[in-house]
Amino acid sequence: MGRHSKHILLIDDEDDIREVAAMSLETVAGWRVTCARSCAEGVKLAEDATPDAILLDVMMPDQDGPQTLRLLRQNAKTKSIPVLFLTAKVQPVERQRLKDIGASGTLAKPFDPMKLADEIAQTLGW
Amino acid sequence: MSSSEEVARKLDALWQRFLPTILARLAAIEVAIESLETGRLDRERNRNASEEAHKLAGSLGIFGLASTSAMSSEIENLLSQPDLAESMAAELRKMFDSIKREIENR
Repeated sequence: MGRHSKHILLIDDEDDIREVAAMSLETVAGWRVTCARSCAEGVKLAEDATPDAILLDVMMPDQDGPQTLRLLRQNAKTKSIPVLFLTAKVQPVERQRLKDIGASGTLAKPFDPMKLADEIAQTLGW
Repeated sequence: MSSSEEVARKLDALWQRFLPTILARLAAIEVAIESLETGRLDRERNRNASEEAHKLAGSLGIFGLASTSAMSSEIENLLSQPDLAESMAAELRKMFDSIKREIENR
């Protein structure tokens, strides 16, 4: 794929989504993936590890994706990390709403494990 | 081994690992459909089942069952309707049976 190794933080409350996404990014692209199952865990890991990008689920219990993004943007250590939302709602109006609150892009869920790394790289211009 | 073969192999292993979760989601949906079939409408149960259908759609999609995933999204939408009628039970059951078959055959 012609891109350098990247470190991705994946925040999603669904175990299977996390496992499959991590497996696909590690196997297809050779990237390093750190996983979090909640907003609180994800914000803490983002602060500690400063990944190259964050994949963030929109619908999560407690604090959802947009709330998580707000916390990331308020934190000096994490405010510049690109955040891509993962969502089943990929209509243009929803994509625009997520862009307006500071997302770098929106990826469709479910995703194709063979194409996920390419979609991330293309969206972020890697 | 090519990366696509490796991904397919690892995906199969993850499918086996998460199959109990997928079947539990399916069971929650069936409970809601059975309630509808027997005229015992329960909005809270339908809401929970709709959430399970949403999660099931995500799971089935990443494991390569695209059309089955779309059907699960359709069930999610139907179950989230506040005015869901008993007359929809047959359609829901048909989609449910189709999803179940696809899961068993994967």
